Amino acid sequence: MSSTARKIIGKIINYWHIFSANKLSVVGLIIILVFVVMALGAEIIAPHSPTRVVARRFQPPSSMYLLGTDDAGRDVFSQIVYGSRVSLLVGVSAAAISTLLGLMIGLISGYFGGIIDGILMRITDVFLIIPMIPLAILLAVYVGPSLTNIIILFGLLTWPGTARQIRSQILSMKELPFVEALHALGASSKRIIFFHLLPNTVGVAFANMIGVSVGAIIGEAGLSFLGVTDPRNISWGRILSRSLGGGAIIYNAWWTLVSPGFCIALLACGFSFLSHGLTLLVSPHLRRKIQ
Amino acid sequence: MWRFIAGRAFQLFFTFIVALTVIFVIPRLLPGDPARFFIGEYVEMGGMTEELVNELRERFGLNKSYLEQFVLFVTNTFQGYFGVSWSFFPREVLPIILERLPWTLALMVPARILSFLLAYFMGTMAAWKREGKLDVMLQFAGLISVAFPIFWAGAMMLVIFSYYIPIFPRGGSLTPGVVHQDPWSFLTDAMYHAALPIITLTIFSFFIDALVMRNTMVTVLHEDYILTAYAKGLPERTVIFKHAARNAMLPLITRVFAGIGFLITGSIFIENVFSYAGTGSLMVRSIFYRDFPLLQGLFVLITAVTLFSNFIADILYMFLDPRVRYLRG
Repeated sequence: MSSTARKIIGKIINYWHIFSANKLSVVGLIIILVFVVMALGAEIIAPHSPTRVVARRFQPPSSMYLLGTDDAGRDVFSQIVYGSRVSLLVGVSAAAISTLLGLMIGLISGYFGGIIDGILMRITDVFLIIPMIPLAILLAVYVGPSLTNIIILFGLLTWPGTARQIRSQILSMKELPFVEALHALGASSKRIIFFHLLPNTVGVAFANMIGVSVGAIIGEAGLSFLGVTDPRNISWGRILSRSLGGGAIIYNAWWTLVSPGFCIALLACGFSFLSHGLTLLVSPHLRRKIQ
Repeated sequence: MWRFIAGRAFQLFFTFIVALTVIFVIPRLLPGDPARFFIGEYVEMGGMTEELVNELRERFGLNKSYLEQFVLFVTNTFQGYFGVSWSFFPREVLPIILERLPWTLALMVPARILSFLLAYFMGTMAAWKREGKLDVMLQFAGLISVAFPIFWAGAMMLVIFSYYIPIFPRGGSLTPGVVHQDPWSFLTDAMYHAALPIITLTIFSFFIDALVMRNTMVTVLHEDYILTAYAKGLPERTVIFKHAARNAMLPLITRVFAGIGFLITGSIFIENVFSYAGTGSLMVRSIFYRDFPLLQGLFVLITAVTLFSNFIADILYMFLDPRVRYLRG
């Protein structure tokens, strides 16, 4: 094994030690991994087809139907398993779009300053205070409720927080001696931004990314609940709204109500817990304070 | 100081215009012409002839240039005209919204006040006994409360408190079929139906409110004047509630207003869980009927209220905290 490879592995092990010292973040990671396995192996894990009527409606949980059946007699557990795909996909992709946008805008705004900064920050202000969920509802009704549209919508509406934080980080960083030294050495702006400033913002970007995915997961569930998303997609919010509309309360079918909400909350908690640990990992300052 | 207020006012006005622009542009960016988008569905249903479509196009001003349309849209908005609703045809949008508005306010105002009072007290207590049982519980609850969707919490409340323990009505805003003779019986009936939605909304904004109060309290308790108060020999309770909490209240007060947008969004979901006849359920109804004028009107109103309450929050903060006032000149 070459020495560089050993060094990298050593670093990873070191990071893992810091990360795993925080029990909460390990719990978060395990929760997320369970849902990822669920989403990837949905075909194998789900005992029934999520869309086919397999029994009478509102059957209570049994060994045959782990979480009972819904208002149309479909297996709730299988729907939950398939539903994890939508939630994870929306959460991760919307967060990726949003973080990429936020990083770009924050970097450019913070580094160049002046008029560019002024314009970009006014746009950021606008997006920060427009009520997001009502706007998402309106736009989703306009552009059509496909999953891709929902992902793009959440990606486009959630970047301002990240952009603000990245910008303020860049602002404080660009005054540091090492940036001055780079200028003196004749490094181009592009080089300074991408090779020297960007790597230092990864931590903040990652923490924000997790925050955005929690928002997007709950947001998607909310839009599904209000009936703005594509009805053909099986999602947790959709299971909940359909059961409510189908008389789950009157039939005392608590299993159709408890399980989707519990999954949304569990996955969102998983992400929140994980970010708790990651913040410690990327911020040596905070880590020292706690130790 | 006035410059700051004017600056904020301009910024919010600008934001409002941008929001209007977004909802003006998006439908016009979509493939097909806007007339088809707005009234096309009815043509496909065979209910309208081409001439009627052309006439409607003229009436809605869709034959004018985009700039003229935009100016018309903005001036109409500021005059409170959002067009004619499709699902309540031929009624105008604004009166329909105004009819429902008091119901939503009846949920939001009590929820906001209750959450504020509870958060003021609990946040103070948590900071007082820092790292104590209440403090740890509050922080953990705050962390996981953001993970629970409000509509789910509402559904759970409904299941528990109106079906398993039937103390609250099963949704709705008034007892159906009952004609109220005097205002008192109307009021009690309305309050009885609003109770559970209000409790859910209160719990939802409580955790963030309480954490805001707690965190400011923790900082304030380290201030010199608190030490002075203790040194004077004042009882601890007096120091905490009279000296510290009053000064720590500022961020919480501004949050009361800044959090109104959050409550509006919450009430969209909550009203639908409790089949409560406010603006939130009106919004979902207009989604269902693809009633674009009504949906747009609601969005414009929500945006206006959110922006205005943010403005109030900023101004209040400035008036209540002399440091901010001096700093900004």
